[in-house]
Amino acid sequence: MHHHYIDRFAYQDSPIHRLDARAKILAVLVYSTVLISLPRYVIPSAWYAVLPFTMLVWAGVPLRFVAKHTLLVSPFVVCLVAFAPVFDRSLVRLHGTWTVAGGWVAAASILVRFVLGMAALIALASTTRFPDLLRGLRRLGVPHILVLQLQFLYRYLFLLLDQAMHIRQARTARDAGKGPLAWRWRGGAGQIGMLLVRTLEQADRTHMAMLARGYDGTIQMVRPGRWRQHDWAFLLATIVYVTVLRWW
Amino acid sequence: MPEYLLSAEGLSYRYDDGTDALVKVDLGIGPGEKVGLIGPNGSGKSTLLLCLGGLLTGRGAVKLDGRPLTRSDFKASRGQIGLIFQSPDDQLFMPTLEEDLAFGPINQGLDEHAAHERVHQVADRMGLDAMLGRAPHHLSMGQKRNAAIAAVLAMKPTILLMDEPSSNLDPRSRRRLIKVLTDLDTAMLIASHDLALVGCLCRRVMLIDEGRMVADGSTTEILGNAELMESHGLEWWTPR
Amino acid sequence: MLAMHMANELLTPVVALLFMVVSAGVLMLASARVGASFEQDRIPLMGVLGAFVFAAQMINFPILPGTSGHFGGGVLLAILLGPHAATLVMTSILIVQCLIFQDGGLLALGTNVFNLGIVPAYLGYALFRLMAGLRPSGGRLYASVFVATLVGMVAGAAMVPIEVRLSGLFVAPMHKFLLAMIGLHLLVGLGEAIITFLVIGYVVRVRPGLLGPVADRVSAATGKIGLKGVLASFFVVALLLGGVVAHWASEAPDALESITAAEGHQPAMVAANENETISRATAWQERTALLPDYRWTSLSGIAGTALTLAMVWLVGRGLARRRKEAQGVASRE
Repeated sequence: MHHHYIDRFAYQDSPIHRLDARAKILAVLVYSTVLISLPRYVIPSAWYAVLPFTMLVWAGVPLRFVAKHTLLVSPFVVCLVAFAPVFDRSLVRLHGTWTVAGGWVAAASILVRFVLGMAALIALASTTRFPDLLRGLRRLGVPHILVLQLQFLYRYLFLLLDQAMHIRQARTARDAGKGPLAWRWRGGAGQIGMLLVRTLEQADRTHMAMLARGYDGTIQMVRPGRWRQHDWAFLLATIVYVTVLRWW
Repeated sequence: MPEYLLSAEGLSYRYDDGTDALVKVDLGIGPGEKVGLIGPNGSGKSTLLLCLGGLLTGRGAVKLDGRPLTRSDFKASRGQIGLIFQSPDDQLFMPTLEEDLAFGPINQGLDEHAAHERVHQVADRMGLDAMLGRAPHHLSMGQKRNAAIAAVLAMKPTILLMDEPSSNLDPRSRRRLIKVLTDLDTAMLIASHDLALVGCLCRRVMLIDEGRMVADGSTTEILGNAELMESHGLEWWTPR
Repeated sequence: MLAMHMANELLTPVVALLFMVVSAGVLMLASARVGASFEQDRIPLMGVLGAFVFAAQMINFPILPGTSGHFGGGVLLAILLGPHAATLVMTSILIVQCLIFQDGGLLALGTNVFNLGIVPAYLGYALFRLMAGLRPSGGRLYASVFVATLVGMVAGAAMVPIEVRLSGLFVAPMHKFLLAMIGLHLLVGLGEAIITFLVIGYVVRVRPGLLGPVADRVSAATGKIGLKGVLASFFVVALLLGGVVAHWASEAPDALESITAAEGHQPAMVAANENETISRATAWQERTALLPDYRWTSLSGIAGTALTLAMVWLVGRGLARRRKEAQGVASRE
């Protein structure tokens, strides 16, 4: 099935793509941390956009994709933040004599940070292949078994999403929308049950296939990779950049 | 008595619920020999392959090079008997193709460098070098099929046990598969409904039904025997 | 849609770091536990179950007109795999959602893992084991699953307002936020409890060996929830909800008071006492107020009663329908 939309940018090539995953992960972590360390009523300046958007543009990731994706995951934050002006009625002065209810400023600040944070995260995710991300995480100290779990999850996620979609399609094909709520719940539960059975069978078969190729309970990960000059330079540059922005 | 590479004597297997999947099966496959395994659904083909590969333990003996294999023997000789399952998705479980191909060799104790070499050798042979960095869900069905075979070949088996290798393949991929298998000089036992494939590749065929070995002989004789084939739920076949 | 994943930007570095450290600590322990035992063998199963929960989360359940919830999975995984493995699996799901789908922030992983993984897994599992005991019958099994899931879910959800409050970036009256989260997740939790129970029933029938030691305790029960079970659970949730709504109503909030009362955060720029600014500010206030507070109390009181009545009515209808179905099924058997 067509899952290329998820990974597709990660398989392109650019200087950003070629950076070590660890460097990118750490850079994004540092950036995001500084971003959320800003006080409540401070809206991040436009300079903060430089890091994520440089990465994105240099890596050839279309900004429309970023916008769409950000919009997709924004509902919770937007809903929550919409209440800020309601609850935060303290007064905040902007630019001299202009005063606004603090809630509006806080809302704007959170939203701007959210968009920037998302841009950075997308920059990380669409320039790094998932297996490389995993290797990076492992080298950064994430427990081996968790990384293995991530590996398997990733592998079988798409398979199961396909199956879930097929089951859902089959069910939709027989749903004229007039059934009672309880019946629809039953249908939903049935879908989940079916999916579960297939899950368990898949696990069995995979286990067999692994045994057939000599699996003895441990899986080694191949080729960890080395830091190069570019990676250090990138990370250092990021740290300097955020430090200057934040505290200067 | 010719020296068989892989043989079974009185192999029987019974499921937990009491049904007999295999009943006193005897067979022998010589080095480099390509043998077909046919039979209706539920006849025990898959079970037989699993027993021969040591993933299921039945009664009776399975011998490699004349030596009976115990559970630990099977484990030690993983890779010599290469089991290829029906669905490639079950067999490709690492994040990238390269790691999948390396999985077997590394489990055989090869160091990183040697495993790397094997991976490239086998990828080259199966035409997969461009896909090494890709994730399995980026491969087409035919490529996945080749990848599953490659993953097992990377362990340098002396015999392949294949379960429905041509299922879900379009005609072009199927032809490619036949070519690949023809060029391989490894011994193989191919369980398949695809009689044309069996007819192409195998000089010898075994017919199994209800867990029993019903016939074992030349391909043309067995596949062309309408009465025999039809009485076991199959259709007869002759080469065009 | 209720996406319970927090974004980075609702947190401050200190809070984010605190929860990262706590979650990381628990994860290390859980990893060690799972790695040490024979559970290594279960990795394919864990991976695939993770994918299952992920996929199941995509199925939306209508709760109220306009809102739908989705399946969480923490408690289910804990019952099937034990709390350590369950935490690892939920963490992997959250990481994948963050890194591949960008749902939930990187820094919020600490809090998300805590709310959606650690709390439901450990708390839910403990409650389940406590209540289920040995060889539970259908009714008792359902009750255990129900309580474990509901409490696990709600407790996790209740952490969100706490974390937001600790950070102080988003200012809101804590009580209302807390009540809103609890109320909503009572409903979501009900759905999840039913699904979890059905799924466990399935697993017991299809793959009893999977549950390991739990299987013996669960084998007697099948995946059927009796009429009484459904009725009872609806009732409990309605009751709890009614309580939540009543509590909400009893608070007479003056938003300004609740904020200034607890704040250590004094914004650097606060308007001086200028007459024109105050009147301008008051104008703002009128416009952004939801409902003037004095009207809220009685309205919500009515809303609470209405909600409970509606629930009972729904249940009654559902009951009648089930009776007909049961009769139909019985005659067929």
